[in-house]
Amino acid sequence: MGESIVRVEPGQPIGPHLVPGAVVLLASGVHRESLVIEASVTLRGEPGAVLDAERRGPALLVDVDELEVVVEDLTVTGGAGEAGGGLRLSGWSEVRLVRVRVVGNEATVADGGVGGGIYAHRGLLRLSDCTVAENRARAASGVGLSGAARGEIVGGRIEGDVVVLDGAELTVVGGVITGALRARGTTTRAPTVVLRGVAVEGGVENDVNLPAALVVEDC
Amino acid sequence: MLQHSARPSAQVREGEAPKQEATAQRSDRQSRLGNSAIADRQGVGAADAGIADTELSSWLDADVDRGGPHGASTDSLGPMRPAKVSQGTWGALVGKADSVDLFSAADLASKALSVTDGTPCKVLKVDGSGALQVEVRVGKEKKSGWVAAATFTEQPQLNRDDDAPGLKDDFVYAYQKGDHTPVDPKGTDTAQGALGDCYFIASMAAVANASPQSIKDAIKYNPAKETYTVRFFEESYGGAAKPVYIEVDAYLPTVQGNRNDPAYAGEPGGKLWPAIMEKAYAKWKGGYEAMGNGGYGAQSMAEITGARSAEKNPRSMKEDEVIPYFEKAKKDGMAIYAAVENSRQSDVQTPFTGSGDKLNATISHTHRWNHVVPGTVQIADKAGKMKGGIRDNGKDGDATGSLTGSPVQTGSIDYKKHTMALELKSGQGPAAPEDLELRFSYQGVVNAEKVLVANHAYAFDGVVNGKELQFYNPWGTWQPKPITPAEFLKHFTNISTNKAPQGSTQA
Repeated sequence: MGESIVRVEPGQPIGPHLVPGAVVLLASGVHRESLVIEASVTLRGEPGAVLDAERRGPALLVDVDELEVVVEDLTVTGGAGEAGGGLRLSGWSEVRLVRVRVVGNEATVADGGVGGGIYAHRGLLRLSDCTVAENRARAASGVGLSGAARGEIVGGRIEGDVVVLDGAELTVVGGVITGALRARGTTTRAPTVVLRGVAVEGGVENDVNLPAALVVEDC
Repeated sequence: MLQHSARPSAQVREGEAPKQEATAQRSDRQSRLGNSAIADRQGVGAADAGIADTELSSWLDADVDRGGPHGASTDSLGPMRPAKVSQGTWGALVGKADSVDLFSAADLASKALSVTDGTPCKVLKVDGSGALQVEVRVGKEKKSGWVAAATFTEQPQLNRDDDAPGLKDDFVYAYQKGDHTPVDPKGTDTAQGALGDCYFIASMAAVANASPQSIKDAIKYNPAKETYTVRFFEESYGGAAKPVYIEVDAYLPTVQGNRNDPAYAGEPGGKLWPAIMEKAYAKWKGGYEAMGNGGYGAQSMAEITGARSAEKNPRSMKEDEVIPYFEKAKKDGMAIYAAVENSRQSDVQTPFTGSGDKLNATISHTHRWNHVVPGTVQIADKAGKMKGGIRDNGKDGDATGSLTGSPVQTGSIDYKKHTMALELKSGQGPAAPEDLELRFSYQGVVNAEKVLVANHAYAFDGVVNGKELQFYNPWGTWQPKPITPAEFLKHFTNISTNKAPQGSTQA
């Protein structure tokens, strides 16, 4: 089945184009929408394209299973929610962000929230050469993983904290984390964190009592 | 202690249940704790991790105590004592008197200080002789000393004291009586304490409203050990949820000076199950500090029921869809959880007074709890004489900040006193102080008439008169009035529903 490609100008709704297999090109400018993604799609930003959720919810929400979602060359901002202001992955799906800027989002409701930029507690999250910056949350201002989510961050820059909880698994290869990387399991399981050649400027804080399985190489 | 939208402190709570006589309960608790009982408990508390699946059936089939006043049928065995203690373990010192002695060395020969029975502590060192060096909070200081291992009970780490950086809350663990298993559990049983876990309390309330049996089935009393085993669920990668079992005792953090008043979930004389479930969740997740550091209602409801939650963004709803949505969700047996916006934009104010380049202002609020969100202040001259705008540079948690911008010589804001002081560069100020317009985002009570608190989670209660929504504030107090669909869409930012199992979930 060939790709269904559609180009969307700012001001035009994106949601109706998010159908299985679609490649949605977002034209330069600000697209004011909070997207609930329920199909395997590719969202591709043209230079200067911004997705601004205007605090209406997470900028990107994937809550269903068995999807493959790719987001490329886009700035994601203005998202807000209880968890994952910029992106919340709560379905057993794979979400891949490539050269995406996740900036100016917040997860600050309900006594604080987790994952100001990105939060996943299910599924597989892949970030490649992304920038996550200026996001707010009580815990994990940058990226938060919990439950049994898996994450892979290759290159890029995470400004803020990264938190890995419960039985989540995170591998970070290269790039910079300006905040701390905090890991804590539960009394019934431990998260896994693998750091390869990444600079964690705020240090790695592995919980003393409920530590993660931590592998650090070339850091 | 009070942080974000944790419940107001005990001193300002409304509608508290009558307090029991502290001395009576204290005496009763002491009579049940003796040396032999404590010694018998050594090594019994090993079930701090999950119980293996193979033990599930025996757990379900056990001849459990299904009610009755605490202590009516069994002698107390005291608090849970860990089988193994290591450096960094959190706990409390519980002995047989009103106080526990700490010694200057591991030989326990020379007394260094005494602390109140139930004082929280952290293990610093374990001596081969069985003595432990522990760190405790005394007033606003950390002190350390050696204790006999028999006085140490493993307990969840307390929350950080927001008023005393570097210290944990100043609460002591004390035994709480209550029903052994939840009797007629409902959302109104819950009452959040001085812990920022409204997401979890509201989740418990929502599940109790939709499926009381789920709450009943989740908590089992172990009469032989006088502990509680709480069932939660965790997902494996791919989605399979399996139960996990967390064992806790009924020693709860209590407000200083009143050993009957739970500091976190619970009220004096209230139902015990919410505090037991909260404590088990805290233990499972790494302590009260960990669970009070941000959470997510959809996830915690799923962890309570084992069923997956669904989420909906209210901003995607139309007004006429709101009442039917809630009516259907309730009819379908859904636990319904909803969260109020983080903050709200203020109306424009013109509060500045003064003369020349020196101006002052007192910020007005629509409710005494309200406060400016640091980093959101914007000041502009509506007449356009002052070039450039003024902003504040505060961050979350700051008490004060600076006001900055091209016309500013010096400027400050006090977020707690709600005041600002500005000294502008010569000739760059407004023609008149009242020309300066102030805008900011605020937290606190975002709808004073309907009593809606920002940055807070609620459990849905029901539809009122077919046209308004009634929510339950997990504080147990400050209950909102019924709100219209328009008010719901204006103030709420997310809804999570969970199809809590109906009927018994033990079989």
